[in-house]
Amino acid sequence: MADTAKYFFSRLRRIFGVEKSEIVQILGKVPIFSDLNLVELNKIENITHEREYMDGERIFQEKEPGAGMYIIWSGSIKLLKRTDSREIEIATMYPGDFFGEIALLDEAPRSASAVAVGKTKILGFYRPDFLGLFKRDPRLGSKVLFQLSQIIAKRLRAATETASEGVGDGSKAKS
Amino acid sequence: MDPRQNLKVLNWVKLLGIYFLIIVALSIFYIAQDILTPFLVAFVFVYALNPLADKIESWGIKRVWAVATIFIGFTVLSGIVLGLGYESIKAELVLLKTQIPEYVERIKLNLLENAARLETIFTSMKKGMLRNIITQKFADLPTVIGEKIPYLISSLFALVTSALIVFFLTFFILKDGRKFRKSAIRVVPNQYFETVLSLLNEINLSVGSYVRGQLIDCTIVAVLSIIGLYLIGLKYAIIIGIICGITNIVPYLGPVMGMIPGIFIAFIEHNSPGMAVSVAAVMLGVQLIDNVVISPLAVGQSVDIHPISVIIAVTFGGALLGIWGTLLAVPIYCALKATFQILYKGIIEYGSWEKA
Repeated sequence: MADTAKYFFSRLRRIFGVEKSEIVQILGKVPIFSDLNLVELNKIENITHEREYMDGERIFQEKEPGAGMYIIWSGSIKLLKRTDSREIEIATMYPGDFFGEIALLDEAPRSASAVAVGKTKILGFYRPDFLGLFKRDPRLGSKVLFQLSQIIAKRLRAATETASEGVGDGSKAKS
Repeated sequence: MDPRQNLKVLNWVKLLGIYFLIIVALSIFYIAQDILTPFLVAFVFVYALNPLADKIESWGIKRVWAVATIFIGFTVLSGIVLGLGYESIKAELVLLKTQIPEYVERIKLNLLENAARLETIFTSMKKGMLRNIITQKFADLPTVIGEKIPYLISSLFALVTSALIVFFLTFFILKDGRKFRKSAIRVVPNQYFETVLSLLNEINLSVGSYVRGQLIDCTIVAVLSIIGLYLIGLKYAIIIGIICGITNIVPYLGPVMGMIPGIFIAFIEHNSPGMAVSVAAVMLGVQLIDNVVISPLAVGQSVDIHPISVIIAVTFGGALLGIWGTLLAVPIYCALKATFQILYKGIIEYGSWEKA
């Protein structure tokens, strides 16, 4: 009986388009999409691309022009940066984490390479699709853009603080 | 050879391989042109209407309804235009139909006159031979046309069928184009995914802005030509103006082609070289306005193609695909140029970091 009711409600939700697909659930946890409602998240889902990578496969390469950001669905990713002689690992990321978001704003070369660790599924969210979304739904576009700028602002502030702490004694920079 | 050099060679092989595949694809297209032409034409419409659909969608209307609104609006609008312009267009067509036998007669007389003159100059020619040939050919004309009529009717049917196909294709590509694209690029290997995505986007942008710009440009040229020709009092001003607008799609050569029917009418109908000069003057004036004011605004700097490339593309297009070829040559050229550029950048310039 309970199963029938569950099934019935899930069918009903699907008919009204308010069912949370697995992708939407992942997207909802990403800070950039944090203040979007279900209808808006469905629109974002429509323009994301699901990609699957094998162990050790490269998602993107340092210094190549970036096309968009990625959100990890399952598996994990490590970010590598090339020094003079070899590549050093700068971070490892797990499901729900995102990377490469600066590429949504411009075509500047990637600052690091991303390599899949184990079999990994990721969602790609690319600049051309993002710009297209902006034309069709400016409200949604600016919501996403605002969140994106907040994240970048936070990071910039942190970077400035670290830099100024390195220069002076740090007491002035904090005011 | 050191590994870096090896990689460079490998990249070039890859690039040339992809170029070769593109050429094979184009050859297949050439062989199957009858089937694929409606698709190309539908794509032109899709490019023209897409910004409008996006705009309506941005008001919060669903894509299906946005596209349906455009189609209904377009039907109503063309109904109104036809309704308003029907009488004058019909009058011009009827006039043209009744005049054609007269034109034929006049051309025949003209030719006979010239033939007689030629015979007086070249005395070695057989008397009356040239004139006989001309009379013979003109007498055959009705039978020749009569033989062509079944062919004309069948091609008319084909035209109606293709028009319907184009109509449906346009509707569904406009409505579901994004979904088609998404599922089509799903199969692209990871390594090339970002490149292919940027490539499709680049093609979309350059072809789209070219098509939209040209359509706006042609409409304005047609309107200006009609006004100008009407003012100098040329007969069939509306039809000739519309022809000018359509031929204007073909860059550089189009305006010249558009001038021919106008000058022809000036000579045959008005029988005055003065009128022909005025027609040429009006059309040159329209071209001047077009090139100085309209074209830079409508087409803009977005499509950066050298005139010589344009002429070569149009000539090849015409030779391979006929009229459609001349019309579609530049958009196809835009797409190919974007493809080759991005592939070069992706494989040769950035590819050299790979595994280096």
